[in-house]
Amino acid sequence: MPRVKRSVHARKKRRKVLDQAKGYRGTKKSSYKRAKEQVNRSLNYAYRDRRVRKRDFRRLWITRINAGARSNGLSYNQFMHGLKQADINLNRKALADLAVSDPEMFSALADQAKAALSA
Amino acid sequence: MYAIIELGGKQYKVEKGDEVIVDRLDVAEGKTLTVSPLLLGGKKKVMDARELKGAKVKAKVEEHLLGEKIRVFRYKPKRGYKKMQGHRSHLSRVSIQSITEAKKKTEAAAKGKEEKPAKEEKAAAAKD
Repeated sequence: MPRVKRSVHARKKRRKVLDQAKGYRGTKKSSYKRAKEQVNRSLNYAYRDRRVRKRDFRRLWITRINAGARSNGLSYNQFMHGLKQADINLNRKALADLAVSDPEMFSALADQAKAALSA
Repeated sequence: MYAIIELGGKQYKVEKGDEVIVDRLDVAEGKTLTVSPLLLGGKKKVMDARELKGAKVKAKVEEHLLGEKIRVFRYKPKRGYKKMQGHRSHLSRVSIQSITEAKKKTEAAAKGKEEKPAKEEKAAAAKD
């Protein structure tokens, strides 16, 4: 078997990791060993946080809907229940958007919810 | 005027001429599809389920595309578990051709009754 010289490939391998570790703090950006540990962890967090992001947004939307509902004299859960009764199937993302971009429409929805609740 | 439509389980607020990127639709490129909106907004607001049934949003599938590549890396410390995958989600770019309200008939009927809440009450009562 021919002899394999490691220099080129070893450098390449390390550069790959160190490039990903740009902007990290302390030795994590310069030491291959530390950088590798951190890069692994960071990518793992990225995977987890793509999922967490969905929950975060849902919470934010709920907060916004709640604020909108309360300014129309309903609590969040009354508002959502009322809409369900009124057979209005907007999701929380759409509702939160309306609460900000079209408050008039949101009030109209709140009226529908109230009507459905008192029925 | 805008409409809220549901495509691929997600809801989008669209106006005529808008382009939205949605999860891959089972429609060929260049074909159009019609969906009934969940809500019509703007000067005239329509949220009654029966009226919405008559309303139509026409959308054209401009192209099927792939999302930006995501590096999916799973790693468990101290267990020797490491896995790297690439992922590109299947998407479709859709342009909104037209938003049309329900036919005049139902509109007139709705106006005739005038008291929308009363109508809602009846609808709700019927469901119970």
